[in-house]
Amino acid sequence: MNLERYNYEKSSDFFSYVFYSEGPKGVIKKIVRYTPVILNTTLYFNLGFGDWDEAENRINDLVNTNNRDSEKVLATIAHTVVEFTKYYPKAIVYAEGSTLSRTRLYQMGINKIWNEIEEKFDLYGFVEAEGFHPFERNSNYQAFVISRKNQ
Amino acid sequence: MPEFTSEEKKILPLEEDVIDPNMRDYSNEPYFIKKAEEAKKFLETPGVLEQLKKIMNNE
Repeated sequence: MNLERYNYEKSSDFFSYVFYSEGPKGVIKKIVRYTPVILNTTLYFNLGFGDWDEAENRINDLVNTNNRDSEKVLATIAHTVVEFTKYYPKAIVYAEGSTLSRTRLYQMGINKIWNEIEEKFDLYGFVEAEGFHPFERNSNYQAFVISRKNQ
Repeated sequence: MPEFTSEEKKILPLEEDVIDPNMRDYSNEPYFIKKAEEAKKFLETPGVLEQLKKIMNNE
């Protein structure tokens, strides 16, 4: 996979990733964070992503900075999934965009890299009123679950 | 630290992604906590987790 992506800094526990989007809107600090969620003795991780608002000193998840680099940003997020699950191979990662359009953006990113990752990962998409399905490119999903295949 | 295969290194140039031991602790960032709580609430919806586990085990 040779998709262009941003380099990032990662925390010592590999739960947090920081990178800087560059484009017409300037330099935007972006954070990816894997937050543990325990359910019925199983550990899941929620993939959280957002722009860091320096002035507010918090994540601003509803802003659409539109730095014209969404593919590069999505590739960067995808790389954090690969890295995070390398260090936590049994992790089950749940991801849902803060808005439907963001979830759709995630799906577009997954579609692009699916050929490269399907060998090593199991990916499921959630369809309202139907539940989770093995990921298919032509379906629309509201949320995703990804985990490394047992090897 | 786990070793990366040559295949994984093609997509993960480790030498360019550095560990920042002084990175700010984002575990207490309200947005991430809120999204995790929403994920937990969704996955706790009756039937969702059971259905997910079933389909994952069938793979």
